[in-house]
Amino acid sequence: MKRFSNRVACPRWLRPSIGTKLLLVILPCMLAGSVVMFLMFERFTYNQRVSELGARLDAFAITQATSLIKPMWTFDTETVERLFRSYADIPELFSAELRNTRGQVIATAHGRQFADFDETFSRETPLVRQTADGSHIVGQLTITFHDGLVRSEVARQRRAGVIVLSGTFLLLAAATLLAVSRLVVAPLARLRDSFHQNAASEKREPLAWSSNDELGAVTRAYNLLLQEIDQRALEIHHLAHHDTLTGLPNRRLLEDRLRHALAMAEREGRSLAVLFADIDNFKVVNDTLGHEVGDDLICLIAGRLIATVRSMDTVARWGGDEFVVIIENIASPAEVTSISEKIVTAIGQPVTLDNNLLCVGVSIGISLFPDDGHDSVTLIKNADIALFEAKRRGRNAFHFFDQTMNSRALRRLGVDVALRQALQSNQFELHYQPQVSGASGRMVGVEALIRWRSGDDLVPPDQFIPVAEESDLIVAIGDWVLREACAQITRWKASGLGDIHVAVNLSTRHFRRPEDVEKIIAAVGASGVSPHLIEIEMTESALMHDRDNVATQLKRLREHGFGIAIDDFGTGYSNLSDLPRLPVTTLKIDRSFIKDIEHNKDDAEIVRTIIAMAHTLKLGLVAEGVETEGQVTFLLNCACDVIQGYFFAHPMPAQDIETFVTKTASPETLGTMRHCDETASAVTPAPNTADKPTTPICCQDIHKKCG
Amino acid sequence: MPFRRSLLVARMFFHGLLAAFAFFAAVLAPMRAPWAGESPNIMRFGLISVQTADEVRRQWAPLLSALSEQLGVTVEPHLSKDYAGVVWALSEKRDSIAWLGNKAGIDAVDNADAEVFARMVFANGETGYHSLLIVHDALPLATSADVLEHAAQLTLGLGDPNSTSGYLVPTSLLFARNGIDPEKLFRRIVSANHESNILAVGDGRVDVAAVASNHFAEVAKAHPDVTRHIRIVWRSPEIPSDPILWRRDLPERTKNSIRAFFLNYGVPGIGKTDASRAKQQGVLARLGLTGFIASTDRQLLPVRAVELFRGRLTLEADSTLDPDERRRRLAAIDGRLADLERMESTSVQ
Repeated sequence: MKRFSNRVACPRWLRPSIGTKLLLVILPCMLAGSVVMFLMFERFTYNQRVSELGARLDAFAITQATSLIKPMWTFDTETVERLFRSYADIPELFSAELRNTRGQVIATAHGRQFADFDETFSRETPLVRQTADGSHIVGQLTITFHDGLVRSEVARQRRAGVIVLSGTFLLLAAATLLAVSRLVVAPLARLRDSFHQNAASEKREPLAWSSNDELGAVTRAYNLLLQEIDQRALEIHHLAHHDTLTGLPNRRLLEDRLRHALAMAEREGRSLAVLFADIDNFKVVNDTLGHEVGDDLICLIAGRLIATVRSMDTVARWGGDEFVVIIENIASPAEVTSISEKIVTAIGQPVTLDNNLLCVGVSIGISLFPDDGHDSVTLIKNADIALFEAKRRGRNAFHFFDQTMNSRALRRLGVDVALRQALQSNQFELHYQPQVSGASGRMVGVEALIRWRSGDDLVPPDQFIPVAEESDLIVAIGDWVLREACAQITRWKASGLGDIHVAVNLSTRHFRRPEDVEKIIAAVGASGVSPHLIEIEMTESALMHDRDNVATQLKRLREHGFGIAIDDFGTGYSNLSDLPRLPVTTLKIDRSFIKDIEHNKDDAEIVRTIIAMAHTLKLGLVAEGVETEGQVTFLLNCACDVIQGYFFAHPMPAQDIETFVTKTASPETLGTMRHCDETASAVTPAPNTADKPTTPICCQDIHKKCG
Repeated sequence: MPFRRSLLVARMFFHGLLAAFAFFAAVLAPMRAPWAGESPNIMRFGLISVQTADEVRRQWAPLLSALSEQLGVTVEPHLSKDYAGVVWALSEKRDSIAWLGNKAGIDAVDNADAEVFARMVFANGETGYHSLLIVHDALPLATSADVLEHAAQLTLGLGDPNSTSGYLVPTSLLFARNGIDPEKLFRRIVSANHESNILAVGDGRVDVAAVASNHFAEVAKAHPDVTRHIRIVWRSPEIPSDPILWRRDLPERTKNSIRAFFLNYGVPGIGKTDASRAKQQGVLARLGLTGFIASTDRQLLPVRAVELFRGRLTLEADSTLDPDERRRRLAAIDGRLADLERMESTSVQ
């Protein structure tokens, strides 16, 4: 503040501008120089004029002396006087005097025009008469001129000179001021304004400069400085928002990002998770191995964190050994679990630092939006609480804030782990449910259904498939199912059953990437089984969920000869107009429609419609969940080709299929049954029963048999 | 030997003294002579060139040699081209004695510290002469008025500017009085001596001339055929005869000798034989004179008056002069004129 007061207190007239200062230097010098020169010139001129005066004086004296010789010789005083009278008009004459040889004054004259004079110049001329006798001095003429005229001339010159000089000075002053203003003051003002503007604003605007002189150079340097400042500002901004050690966002930036992410999630109705991670026993590492090692460890862990999460997620260093991760756009808490698990695994990997093998763990507390809070403060606080819980429960783990979520997650995790184990240790089994031709009662194919023999229990798919679906496990399981099905087809063939058509349930996860499809094709090809025997089933809803991508992959499979079936048809939100475009071969009517076709006219109508549609599109049909004879009758009436359900058979192990096939193919049962073509899924009616309507008599028998 | 030395010194001293005396005598001797610029034994007699120089010299030689005998120094004639030269010679002390006209005499008295001591007596016994305006009688000019009237067609012959009859009187009484500037009026003006002008008029080389009457008479005697055709159209009042002057600073004894010579020349005197008197008369006759009489500066007064008069006329005619100045000067002239008149009236001679 103090230094500004000087500037304010100083009155305006004491603050000269550059122009004035320059003038204060230039003008006095020029003035001094000019005055000196002027005076010198004046003196020179004066001297010159004086010498001219002297010359005139000499000439006059000589001339007059010459004219006076004769009158003086002849003592003609009248002529002398006449001549002398004429001298009075000589402007420069001061006095003229003529003396005779005896020194007497014969005549005098005085100049009339007495201007102001300073000096007089005299010339004495002897009047000499030349005769045959020799030279005779007849008198002495003294002429005195004064320098009045010269002075007045010089004065006039001086006056003119002064005017010209003044004019020149004014011009010089004006020109200097103008030039200074143009060249210095105005550009400096621009520069100053730019300085002020850039000091005040956030963004720095470089100054465009056209000239190449010193000011131009200064401006260039200034612009460079601005760039530097911008750079520094960026650095400062970065430093203010990022952790110096790891380069991760710091607390401030994290909170900002979290707020932003919450706002986005709120608007788009999505969920996000806040993970509060704390390195276990970090203090021990720091104390034993030193802070440098500790820092290196922090950096390493930060790197692993970043590598583990997706690019859209935020990893921030909260401080010390604490990190916060924001997981955005999560579909389900299971995703968070998965990621958290990955983090724990990743950080749990041993690390070598400074020749020390370290193994640290991480405890993670998780809070979810919108379940566990709506603002950043709450979410972080709850994540912190969850962290505390995680640590309390033994560390190197994650803990959800919501307990039920927690238990669910744990359970899910358990299942996940168990499933992986099951896959490793062949705990899976494939059971097969026959698909029977409604007309002939013969088995035309099977649907493969996975079972999990966990200990003594046989876990149905609905218990573990959903868990598997949440990770890549489902793909691994699907692969296994396919391989096993192919192997079984080979075994059946080998045991004389011929080619059995197997339908396999696969998740759409299988068809996300082309590689997965190739794997399927390769796996089936490797087994030696013809793709025509494999039908891939997908639920209608699953298919519709990722329609375009899956459709492409399915087309590929179809090209190879695989069959594609839409499972649970009627329950999904499929667009019927899309149906012809999909490479589907079979529609499987969902059991919910079949259940009430006997009693519910609407369901019956729907089923009829589906059947009709399938016939129109030349698609195969399978009715699922057929349990009663009435349903069978109905379906047969509608010319539904294939029936699958408890009415005919429950899912059974592979060896039971052999029995079933034999039974359904036996003559007694065949009796009134229609013959099935073993290879084709279409049924050709036997000639002897052509005129008869299809009756479910044999079916009844079969039903009885199967129980 | 101390005695010998002192003798030597005394002898040296004596010789030195002698040498110094001789030196100073030699140096100072000329300064004692009153005739600076003249060697002690030569005196110069200034003569005005009224005729050709040789003629004048011839005329005066006998008189001057007689004077030389009388004075015991050589008297040389000094002829100057103009009258002023003689006055200046007197002034510069190169001439001791001079024969001048009245006008020139005034200048000599005023400026050369000279003094009139004698005056000529003409052959006819008169001591005065006139200025004449002469024309060739072929010209239809009878009076001076005619001359002035026809001046533009005429060539005028005037004498030396310091000549009384040849210049001063005609310009004063003829021209100035009538307010005429001859320079402007006449077709041409020539300046020559009396004889030349007379002969020129006779030859018709000059139409009109102003000359001295005595000289006219002489030329008429010598060249009657020339002068026969000459008519005199104007005669001036009498002008005193020419003075003889000497330098005032001449020693008294010399002056007395000179005066005695001149006043006694041609006059019967004690111890002078008739033969020598006749001889002297013959010398004088050659000069057109019969003798000299004593005179003083006073003889110049008339001519001074004429001069003043002429000056007055010129002054009146001068337009360039400041009126006050003119009045002052005129008053001065008038004053001097009055003085002259007074002096003249008290004149004895």
